[in-house]
Amino acid sequence: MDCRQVSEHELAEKYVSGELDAELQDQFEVHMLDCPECLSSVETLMSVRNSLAAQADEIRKFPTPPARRFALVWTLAASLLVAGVVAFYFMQPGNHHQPDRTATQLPSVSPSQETVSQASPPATNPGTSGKPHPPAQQNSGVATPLHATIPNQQQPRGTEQVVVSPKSPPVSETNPRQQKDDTAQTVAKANEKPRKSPEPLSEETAVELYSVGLVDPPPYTFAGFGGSAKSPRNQGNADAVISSGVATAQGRTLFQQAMAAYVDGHYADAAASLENALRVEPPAVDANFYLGICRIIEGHPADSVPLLKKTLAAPPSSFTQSAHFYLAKAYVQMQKLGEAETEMQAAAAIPGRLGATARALLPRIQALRKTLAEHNKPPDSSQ
Amino acid sequence: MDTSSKAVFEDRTPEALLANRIRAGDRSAEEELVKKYRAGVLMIATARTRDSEAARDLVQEIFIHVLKAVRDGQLREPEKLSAFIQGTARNVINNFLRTRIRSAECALDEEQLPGKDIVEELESAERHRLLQRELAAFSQADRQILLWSLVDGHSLAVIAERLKMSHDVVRARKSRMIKKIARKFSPVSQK
Repeated sequence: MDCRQVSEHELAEKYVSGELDAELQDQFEVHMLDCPECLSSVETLMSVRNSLAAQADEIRKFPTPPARRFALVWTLAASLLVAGVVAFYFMQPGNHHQPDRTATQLPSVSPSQETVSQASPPATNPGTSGKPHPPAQQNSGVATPLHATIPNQQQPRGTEQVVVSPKSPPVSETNPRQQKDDTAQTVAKANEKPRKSPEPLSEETAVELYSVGLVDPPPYTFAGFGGSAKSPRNQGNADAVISSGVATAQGRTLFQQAMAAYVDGHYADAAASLENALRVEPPAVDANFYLGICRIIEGHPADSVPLLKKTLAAPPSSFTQSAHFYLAKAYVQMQKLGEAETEMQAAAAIPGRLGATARALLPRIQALRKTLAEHNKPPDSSQ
Repeated sequence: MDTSSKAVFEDRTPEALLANRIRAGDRSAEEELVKKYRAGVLMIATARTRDSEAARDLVQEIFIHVLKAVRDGQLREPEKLSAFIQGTARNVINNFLRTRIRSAECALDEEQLPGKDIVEELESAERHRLLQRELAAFSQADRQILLWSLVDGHSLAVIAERLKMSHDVVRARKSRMIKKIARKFSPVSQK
């Protein structure tokens, strides 16, 4: 190894980030002991890392660019502004007339649009995109200019429904005075709602919760193709991880089918095949583990818990650390941070690929746990 | 070059000479070895444990193992002293990580390893202060890229997705920042 290779392949940065595999890490360290320049680079990067770690809380306070969220927020803001203007207009003396004008000023939502709005998936369901949605798309109500008045996504949707509910009589069929009163009442009701709903999580907490709960699917390599591994140190020697009983050929075939889908990112297909594999060989540690992962990725972290616990109940294997780690992630997504902390501690204590990441995540989970505990404290107790 | 001349040549490398002097009982050679490799070993321990305090303790333990081994003639290829030190460091650190029990500090009656230089400490503090200032000058997105990459260990792909940027843009920004920092701070860190 020489300095040119170090520079070309950004080995110093990868070394500091813990991205080098064991062999390359050894080679780089031997080189670094003899090369003051490369040692100096690593020292600088390590100093940068330490400085960043010291400022981490401050840096994390800033939200990520809300590209998709931005449009939604401003649409909602515009809707509320229009509703407010209409309400104000009709509250003025002398403005109790012109039902047609009212009809044109109210946001016109067709029944089909309303149906779409109501049929939207629950905000807490991360979907099947492979990763949970950012917190803005969940129910945490983060990073919106309307943060003070829109605690979560359901509220503005509800507001729209109140103002232009298809169950209400059509505007043109009502008495203008009645219409004015109804509109004022509904807008007033809509404005009351945020006060009744629980306080939303702060933006930085929601972003941090999302960040800590984010799951990168662990790599998988087929047992028979160790050389073409997607990950250098894989958990792919599937035949070695049947905790008890004998691996059946049928079970292994189903497992391999499942993992073919998994590697391609078809997690729903992988989950279906893994379920079949587990019917044939229920104690298979690898099948339980990867089905647990698929469940998290599909947005059902609670379903992954028993599967990952079953993995942990087996004798220690190459899956043990990963099972603790991803179980902690599932608990974070479920906002059960006490359990998440316990599992992440277990993952951090076991030597392995995820040790450094687990150790880095642990203080963040602890901080989140503290924040959420304060957030969930009943208002009376603070008085 | 035949085998014997190659062996003679290798024995005359600075590493081999240093190892041979230690084996011959030269105490100044031991100090020289510690001085030469201390920073590198500390960096290895810090990078592997992510715990600077534990790393300092481990450095001492690593050098005790290395010096004992060299004195006892366990270093079979003196020209590969660096590789031997790295291997020893790796084993000691892995053992530490496995057990998570810090070995009690030895009373070093004989091995008087040099402590941390006051100049070195001041320089480190100054570098930290300058780095903080330099980082504060970067944009928020740039600092997030560095934080998520160097501290949290996220891949550039994940960072790109989170920041709604392309992978190449994130890579370029990270590379540019690191080069800028390295240009500014390398003269400070290289004595």
